[in-house]
Amino acid sequence: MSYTIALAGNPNCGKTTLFNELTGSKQHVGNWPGVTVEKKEGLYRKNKELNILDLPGTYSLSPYSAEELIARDYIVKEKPDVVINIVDATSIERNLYLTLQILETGIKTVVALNMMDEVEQRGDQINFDKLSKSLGVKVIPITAKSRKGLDNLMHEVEEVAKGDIRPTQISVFHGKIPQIIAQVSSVIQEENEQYGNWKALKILENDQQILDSLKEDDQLRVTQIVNQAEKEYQMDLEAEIADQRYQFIANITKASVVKKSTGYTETTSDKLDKVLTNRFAAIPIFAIIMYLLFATTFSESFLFIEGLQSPGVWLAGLAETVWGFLTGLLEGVLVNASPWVFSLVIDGIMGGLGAIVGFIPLVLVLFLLISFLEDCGYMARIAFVMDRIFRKFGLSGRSFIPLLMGFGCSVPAMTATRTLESEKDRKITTIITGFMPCGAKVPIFAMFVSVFFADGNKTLVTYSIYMLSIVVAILISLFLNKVVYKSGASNFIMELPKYRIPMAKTVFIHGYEKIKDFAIKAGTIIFMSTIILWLLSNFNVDSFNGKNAAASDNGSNLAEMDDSFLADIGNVIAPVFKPLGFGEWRPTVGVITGWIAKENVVVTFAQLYDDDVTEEYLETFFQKYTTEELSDFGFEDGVYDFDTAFTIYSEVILFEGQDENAFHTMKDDIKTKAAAYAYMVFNLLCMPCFAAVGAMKRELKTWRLTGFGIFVQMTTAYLVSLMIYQIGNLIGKF
Amino acid sequence: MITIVNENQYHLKGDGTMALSMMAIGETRRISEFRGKPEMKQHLQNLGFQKGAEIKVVGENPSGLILLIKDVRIALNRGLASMILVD
Repeated sequence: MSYTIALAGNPNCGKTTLFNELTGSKQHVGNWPGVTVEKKEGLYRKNKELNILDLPGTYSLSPYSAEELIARDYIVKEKPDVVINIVDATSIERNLYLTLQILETGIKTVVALNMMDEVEQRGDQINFDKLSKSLGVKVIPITAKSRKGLDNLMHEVEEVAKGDIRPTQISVFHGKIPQIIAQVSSVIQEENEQYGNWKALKILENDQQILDSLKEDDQLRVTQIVNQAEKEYQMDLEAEIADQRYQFIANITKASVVKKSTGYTETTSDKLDKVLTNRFAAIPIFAIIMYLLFATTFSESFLFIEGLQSPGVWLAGLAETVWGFLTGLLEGVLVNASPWVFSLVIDGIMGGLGAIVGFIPLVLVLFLLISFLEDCGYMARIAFVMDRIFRKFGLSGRSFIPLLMGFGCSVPAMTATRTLESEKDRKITTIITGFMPCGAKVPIFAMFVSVFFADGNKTLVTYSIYMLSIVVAILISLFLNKVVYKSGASNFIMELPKYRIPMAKTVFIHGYEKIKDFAIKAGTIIFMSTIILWLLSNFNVDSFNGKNAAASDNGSNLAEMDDSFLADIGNVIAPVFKPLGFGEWRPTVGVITGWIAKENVVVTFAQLYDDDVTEEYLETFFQKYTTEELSDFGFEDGVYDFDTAFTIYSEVILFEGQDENAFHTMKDDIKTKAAAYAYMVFNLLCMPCFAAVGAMKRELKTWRLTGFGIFVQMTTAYLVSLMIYQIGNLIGKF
Repeated sequence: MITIVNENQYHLKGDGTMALSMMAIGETRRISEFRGKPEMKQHLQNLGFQKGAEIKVVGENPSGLILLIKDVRIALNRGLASMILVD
């Protein structure tokens, strides 16, 4: 016999911690309210009969956000065998509001009174028996994070699941309310009286979803009853019901909770908030934390120490080395394979994936740090502090988190928009997240800046690109708010969870969940696209009629890239980009491969503009490295053919992001600095990679809206790049 | 019915009622009324903002206020705070 046990509770009540401790599953605890979006299940470690399910955190069963609806529908429609309602004992009154609503459904419930350690620390006392009697269900004290009371809790849950112990009916409502409920219930005529009463109660609370589920004439009749009652008794039924629930809660907590100090005492969290949300200090502190966040991830001179690589950069280098080593091994294995197999595996797959290997560690480090900020409680404060600024362009401060994650990778960033309550904010934030300079776009800027802006202030140019992405995101957000959705900023209201030092394990699980989407993307879409890209760039019509083989000295069917299908596609589209200053086939192909994955842009350039990179050039290039570095790149002692050396070369420059002396032929296609800048901007703002488009579709739901989002991104990219190129040319210098 | 409330409209009604947004840090009052969209009203109730609930302002910055209500800290913007009336 198997039983389903659902965990329900407010956001931040410790529900996810309890779930982790009960199931031992890899799951995370977040401070961001509503972090548990998906339905998560696991078997109880000590009794596999009990299947435990983690519901999204919810403040009530009258759902406000989409996530809350999941919890409500599950409890009412799927009917788990037992609901464990987790109550944060440090804010018992607010938490019991949900408890009452769960009990109203008549479902078998056990209340787990969590965070008892903090209650004891405060010196407060709770009479569990009294509370239990008042609620009509068992109340078990626990401390989930130290596993205290969990055996006791689960023992009780098992009894309730197997036995026939229904909650004892409690009368929460008084005055006219029970009578009106009965009236409505008699119209609905549910077979199950309890369920009928619950539905009636929800109708009194103006629950549109329940009302819509009724037959049309019943709808009319119940609306009439409700309207008449409101008029006759001069009350707002919904508010009255909430009032009576809170009254009931106040009465029972007065009887069973003894607080040591009734007044307000300033907690450590309050003291921290005085500084971290301070009128003057909040923004500077926030700026320093953001600087540390990005420096730890991307900096080549970490903490201003010249040559000290940040953890992110160091890990990236390590990953590159390992990948180079693997590529070397495969080359050895494939040395006797046919030329096209060798080319597919080494140039296509290893070369293509190699491009992302370098920045997976960067994204990982960034997301670990973001998870840390979320788990310690600071992110909720950032959302609050930033609200003042985001409000000016029509969004709420909550949109900040997805946008920040967009600096790492758009895929998890777009998924993070789910925590936004306003649907309009969700849509706009998803679309503008595509403008963020994600980790994969960074190599494009590095390469272009080093080739075209070598004589200028390179940092300033890169910085201006970042600033531009933010300015464009703001302007487009304003435009979408004012013109498309015709509305202003939605109100901001958010619980500020207590600050805490998160457990390392939790941060890692949390960070892993964010990067999971990205890793899947790497394994599927990028893998597929590298193969397609390889096919398009290595074949042409002559590959299939033997002409290539006849012309080649080793009988290979492969075509030169300049003459491939990819070049044909580029040539067709190129004229569109003439007004932007890069209307040639090679930059066009770069844009196209960028849609498959932005990191492809640099790889494509490395392959398309290799005229400067001759054998002699490579020899000079590698001379500047030490023997040790060379073996890190994958060179062992010996003679290397040009192709191998070139592959290693393109990985090295991809990682270092620059080689000032090569790629001068790029300047044949992209002639001015204005054109180069326009090209960077176009790649920054245009449609993100296909993996991100997939994420966009997931969040925006319809292809229509996704198409609209892409249209906005493309048009913005085109217009902004057009302006930059045309104005830049007019000025004559850039 | 939706009542749109201008931020400065409900400061004082003469009977001691004022907007939550006008409360000073450290001040404690009781909620008397909410003027705003029904969905927001319901969400506020779910968070413990029902009529008669005791509310204390524990922090303030240009974004809005930090309130203590039923032992929970809640941040909200000034516009929303101005729609909540307190006695």
